[in-house]
Amino acid sequence: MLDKINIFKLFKEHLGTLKKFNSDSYNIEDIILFLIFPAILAYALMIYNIDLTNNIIIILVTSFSIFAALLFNLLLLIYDIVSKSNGKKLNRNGEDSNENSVTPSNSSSNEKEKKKKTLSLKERLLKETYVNISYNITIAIISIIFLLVIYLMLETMETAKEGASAYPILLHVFKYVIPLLSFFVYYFLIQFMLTLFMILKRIHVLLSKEFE
Amino acid sequence: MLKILPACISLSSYTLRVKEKSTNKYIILDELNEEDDILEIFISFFDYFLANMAGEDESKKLFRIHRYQPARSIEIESTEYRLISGIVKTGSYGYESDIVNKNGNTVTHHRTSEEAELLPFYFLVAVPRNKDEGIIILQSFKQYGIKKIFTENFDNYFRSERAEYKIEINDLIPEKLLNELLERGSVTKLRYISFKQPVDLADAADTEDRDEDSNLKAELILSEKKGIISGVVDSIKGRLPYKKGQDDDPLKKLIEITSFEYDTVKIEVRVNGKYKNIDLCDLGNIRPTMNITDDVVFLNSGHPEFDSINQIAIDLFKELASGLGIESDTSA
Repeated sequence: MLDKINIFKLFKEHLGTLKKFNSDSYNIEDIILFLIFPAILAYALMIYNIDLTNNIIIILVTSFSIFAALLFNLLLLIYDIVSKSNGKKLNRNGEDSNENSVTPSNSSSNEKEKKKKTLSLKERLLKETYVNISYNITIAIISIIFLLVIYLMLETMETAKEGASAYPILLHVFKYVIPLLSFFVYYFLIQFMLTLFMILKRIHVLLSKEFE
Repeated sequence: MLKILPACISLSSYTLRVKEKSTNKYIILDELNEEDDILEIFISFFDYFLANMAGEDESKKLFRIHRYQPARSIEIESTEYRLISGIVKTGSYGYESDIVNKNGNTVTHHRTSEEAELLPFYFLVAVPRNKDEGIIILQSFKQYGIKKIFTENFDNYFRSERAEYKIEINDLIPEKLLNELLERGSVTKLRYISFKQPVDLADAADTEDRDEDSNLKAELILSEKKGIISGVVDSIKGRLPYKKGQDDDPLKKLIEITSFEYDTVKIEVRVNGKYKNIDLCDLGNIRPTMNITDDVVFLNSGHPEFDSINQIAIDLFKELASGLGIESDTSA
């Protein structure tokens, strides 16, 4: 039933982008920066009672919405770069098959190998950037949902204080759920910003290659 | 007006040896049967293919000699080498195609399956006196080369003249050149180099096409003292190119005390006052295949001018024959 909205694979793939280049092991520094540091900071914000007020919720929902929309556009840019790369690959294969009428030598094979290696690095970078962007869009959406839920809970609690009837048990539950959701909102917010910087660096490298 | 970029032109080098079939030993090249010189066989081979064309076989590749220059002598380290250079023309037939002028959209000629497009390729043959190993340099044009067709045709011709011998034409390997370099020169420095290894994929993609120096992290330089470095380098001669992490690695043992983690080792060799730096892990900087596209003069035909490529080939031959750039005497 939940197959169409199952994003577990996306989380797994994003985690895979935190591995070292040319190795199957995770980079400890990246794990600390992207996974542990946001948790510590989010917990610190909770400890120091930096609560999510209505104004902050509105600002965060707006910001996440705008960024999510922009990131969707970025996905299209990545798609465009991938299409161009595939087009170049097809053209190269076509040229090779046409120029074999005399005796082929291995004089330019070293250059071809180098080009091939560079292309696969670029392809890997494109794929990882696409995964990072998708992950960021996902946590933006999750954060928006959590923020809306927190907003509704806070409004319900406000209404209950003014004397309107509400289930007391529900209010009791809200008291625990709101801090938990707030923690995750902060966690995703910090992670979102850090991943955005990572995406910015990768897009910069990819576009620099296009200009070259 | 569109600038037409020249096609890639390169020179590849090979060793030339003759083996006697009965004894399986290599023969001095100017003493086949104690009096015959392989140079004479080359000259008669060139004369034959000036007048005739090979290719009436299943290979469907035509081969002929377009021109060659008479032999000239060069002395390198008291060895006299006789050089012959010229142009071979070769091309394939067996399929049809249309020849179209790029300025109009009309077919100017329809190539039949019995016609071949002949392309010119430069060659240089260097035969020494009193030695069993010569050098052959062949030109490549884009990804086309002539090593196979040149050696096959010469091999067939040679066997028809001297059936008791066998021709061997092999790639000139840089390890051999390095050994010769070490024999003639002295090691002055050993440099252990450590490179920054990119951890981030974006950094790796960004620096992929850059020179290695931008990734240089640290160097440990040892200068020669009391023959220690030369001794260590001698001990790895048979294990080139050098690979880190092998058993009893003498280069690693030399700096064990420093705990310096290195990625590659370079040696500086001094020969006749000249210094040459060689990467022991990658002997590519003395690789005998040279891209000469930027150095050669091109004719309007799009092919290199003979004198220009001839001079570059002779310079390359001099370096290969001696393992480094030593001055030589040239006599016609």
